Amino acid sequence: MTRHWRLLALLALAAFCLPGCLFHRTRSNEHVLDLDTASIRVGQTTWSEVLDTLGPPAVANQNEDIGTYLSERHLLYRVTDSRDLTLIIPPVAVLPFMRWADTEEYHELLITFDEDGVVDGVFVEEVGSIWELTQDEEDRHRVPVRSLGGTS
Amino acid sequence: MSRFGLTLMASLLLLTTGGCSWGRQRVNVEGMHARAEALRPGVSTQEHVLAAMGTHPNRVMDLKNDKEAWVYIFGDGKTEGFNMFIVAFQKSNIGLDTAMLTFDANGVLEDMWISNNSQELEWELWPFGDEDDLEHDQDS
Repeated sequence: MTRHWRLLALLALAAFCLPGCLFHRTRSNEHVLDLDTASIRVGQTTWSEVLDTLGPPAVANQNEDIGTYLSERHLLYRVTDSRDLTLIIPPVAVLPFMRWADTEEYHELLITFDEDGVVDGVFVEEVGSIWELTQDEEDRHRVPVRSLGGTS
Repeated sequence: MSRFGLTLMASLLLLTTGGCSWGRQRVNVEGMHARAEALRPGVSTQEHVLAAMGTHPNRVMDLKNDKEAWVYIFGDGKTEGFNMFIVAFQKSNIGLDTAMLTFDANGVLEDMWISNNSQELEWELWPFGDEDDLEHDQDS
């Protein structure tokens, strides 16, 4: 092998060993952010009327139980946001400690109903996610639950 | 430029060239909105619903007054990526939907609701930004 080809092979090997970064983000049910709750009145609007206005809630992940989101006493609408940073070094592939993910960002709209199926509470909760590896959970911005009406 | 130089440049170019990727993931049965159009509240029975939807519900819930709710879960996911040699960006948009059908005590369809999260789902590439989404929501 000539000197040049040896150098080329060395460069190719060095390039192969270069670490790579994969930034991946997954957002589910973003349409929930557009739901308009203005017509929902505590003490007046019924379960069926809320479903007529907002549609039924959906799971944010197909492995979740729909019962968490839907019953005669509550309807929960949720957007989730997952951020994933993976460090890839080809010769060692992807090791668990080289992967970092955060799935905490969500926007939730919870509507609760009394025994007669009438709205008795409308609540919004928002929790932010963290992105950089150096951040910890204390850096997560958390907005207190906002009540748009109701007592429960 | 020497033949070696050209080979080196071509190799480096090949190694650093970016590539795009697209991925699609469908959840459960397709076309639930269209299938549900064949159903008529007050007329359709549970047998009709099974025939129209083409599958059993994911969940059956008991409601008050001997009523029953059938819940179907379906959806769509779109992932777009730009993959360079040392860095790759990918974003997945997922829309999961619920079709909820309620039946009276005689098993006749009373009402139905279907969400639209998986409709008009966009292909998106850039995973960053939208940091102030939540702040916007708070302000509005």
